[in-house]
Amino acid sequence: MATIDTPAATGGPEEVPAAPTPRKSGRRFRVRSKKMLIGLILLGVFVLIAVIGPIIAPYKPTALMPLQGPPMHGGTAPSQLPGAKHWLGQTNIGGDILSQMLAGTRPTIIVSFLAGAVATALAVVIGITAGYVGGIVDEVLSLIANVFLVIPALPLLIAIGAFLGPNRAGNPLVIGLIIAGTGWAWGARVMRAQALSMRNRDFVEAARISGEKTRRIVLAEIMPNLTAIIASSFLFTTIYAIGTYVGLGFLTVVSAGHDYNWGTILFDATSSSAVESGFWWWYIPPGLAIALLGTSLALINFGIDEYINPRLRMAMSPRHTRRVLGVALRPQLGFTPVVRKRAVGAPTPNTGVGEAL
Amino acid sequence: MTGPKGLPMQLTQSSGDGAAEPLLEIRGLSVEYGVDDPVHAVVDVDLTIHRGEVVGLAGESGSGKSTLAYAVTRLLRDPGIITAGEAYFYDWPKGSYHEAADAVHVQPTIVDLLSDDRDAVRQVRWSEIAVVFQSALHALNPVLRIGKLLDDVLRYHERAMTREQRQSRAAELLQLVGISADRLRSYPHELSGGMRQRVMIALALALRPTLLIMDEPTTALDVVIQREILEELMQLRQRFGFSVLFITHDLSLLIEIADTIAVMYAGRLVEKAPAKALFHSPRHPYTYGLTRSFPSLHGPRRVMAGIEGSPPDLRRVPSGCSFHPRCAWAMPECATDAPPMVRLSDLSGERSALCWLQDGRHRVPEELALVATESDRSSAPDIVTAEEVSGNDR
Repeated sequence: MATIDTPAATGGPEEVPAAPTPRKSGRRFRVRSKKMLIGLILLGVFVLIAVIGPIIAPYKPTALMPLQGPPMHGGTAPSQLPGAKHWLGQTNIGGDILSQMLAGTRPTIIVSFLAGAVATALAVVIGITAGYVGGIVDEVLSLIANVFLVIPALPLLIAIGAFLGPNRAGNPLVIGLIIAGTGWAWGARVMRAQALSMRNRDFVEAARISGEKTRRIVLAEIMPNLTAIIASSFLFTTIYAIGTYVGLGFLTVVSAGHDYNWGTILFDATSSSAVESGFWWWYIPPGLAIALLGTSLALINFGIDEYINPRLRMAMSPRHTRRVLGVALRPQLGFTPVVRKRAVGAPTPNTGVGEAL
Repeated sequence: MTGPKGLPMQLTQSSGDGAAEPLLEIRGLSVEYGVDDPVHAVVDVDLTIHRGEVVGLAGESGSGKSTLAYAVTRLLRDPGIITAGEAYFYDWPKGSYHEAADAVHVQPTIVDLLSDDRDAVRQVRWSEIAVVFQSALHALNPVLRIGKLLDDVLRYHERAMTREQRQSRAAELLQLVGISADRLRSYPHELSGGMRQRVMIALALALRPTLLIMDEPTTALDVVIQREILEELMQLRQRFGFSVLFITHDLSLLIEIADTIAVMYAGRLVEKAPAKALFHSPRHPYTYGLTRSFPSLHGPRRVMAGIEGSPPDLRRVPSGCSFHPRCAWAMPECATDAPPMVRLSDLSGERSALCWLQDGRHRVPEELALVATESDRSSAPDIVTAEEVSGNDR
């Protein structure tokens, strides 16, 4: 066979201007998705605070001090307003809210990620087993999952918390495991449904015929297809765990012992009528922290979706096409874009034999 | 012999010559996939389909034939981009196929298929240009009955029809493609592959389109069913006068059914000719290689030969003529200069080939200079009879 010239056409009229080739040097782990980047940065800040928060906290979170803020409007006495000594103000009995926030981040992060990881692992194992094996195994596992779905999680957690007593219920690891125990069933249902639809696909059938073991089929053939669902299951279970942990703190099931958490701060604020008194520095920070942590996880989930699903990848992003083609293209299903790079009616030279053109 | 309005039958017949009325005109169309290091899937293709004509689009996998068809209907998915060219659809008045064009009422509206006007494109889709996909199993919604599928198409496009009218029309459509009407209550999985493909054709014909794009419609079927479906299709074409753009890699099939065959290689149209002429007297070396690679059903026995090498990577198409690395008659200029599209004219009619050998300044190898005869002119399988025309219910 003759060799094929690799360089593109030389001088021919059809020559297409060489598009700038993407830079591929050593930036393999560059985060392409902006959502992913913002999510990761936010989460990074929270993890950092979880690690060093208790160390950099200016006061002990449980310490009570005289009110030291600037005087309230129209008064002269020192108040609990945010000031130089207490950046986020004080509680009405003199606790430093910034210290409570910083100290409360660690248990929140530990509980939510532990619960997310354990619940997802349970969901993957139980769900895929049920879906792939089927039969009586599926019946039993589905029954268990359904029971857990029906049990209202919060009352159960309150009961368990009361049973364990304040000491053990205050331990983030214990709480994380308990929340995982109540939060896996939803993910398991999703995994089971996916595994069911995978089970009879041709490639799984082919793997079975080629003699692969069940373990390998599940791990190498089915699991990679569930990556996006497992990732989103993990992230959303984590968000659920944050909500639940904060809720337990708010309901004083997890008491404000030495471990302050955001829910406890909210409970203190509410029981002291902070909202009615306009003490925004007391209830806004924990609320905002919960919202931001949840947002960061959701953003990471969107990023993972884009990474895993090639159709969502950014190769054809409006910004990118504007740079290369000069036109911002927005992919529209069922309406192929037209970008005329060169003038119409041009170039192929036509030499007519029978007749001229 | 006269048509329904006393017009000469010649005007109503499909033929490859230039006097016929255009239906779809593609000029200089180019399609690329992706924006960084794009794949040049279709490059500078000119193709005109006339009313009532069956145009076959042949080529090996990856030669751009499906891409061309989907680009024209604007159905190419991201990251496909149309980068050059024009495509016009001539929207002739419904039911005017058996009348000749005149200045008064049989005049087409010209639709620019590549315009930014979504509605204009959407209006000709399905009602004028219908597509039959390769895999009927995947194109039919598995949870809807056949009757419901047909009913949906009619309900959304022909709002004037009543429920009863739609039902009887659906039954009629099924009978048209040779399926009994009681199958309306069946689900797609209850039908065989051939029946599913027939249902697809019935769906495509539901709105009496003037152009039917068939993307390898019979590839998944065995030859007997394939034959039956194609015969039926050709009968329906005689009756309703739609044009067909038939995409396949099976050149021998095209020679049987097509009026004109266009051969694609590496995204370019390399030869276009009346079907029989293309087979009997190819003008392009690639077509010559293709015609020698399968046995003829009706001719004398010959030694078969393939084409050396394999098709090029569409990101790095060879310079000059993209076929030159595999061409037995390659000349030095073939490697450097892009060949011209040479218009030729012989007894079989108009034809064209993208080759330096045919430009008049080179000695044409005798394999590529076989004489085409008058009998190669039209390849329409049957001649429309007056009875069939008057039996037309349009």
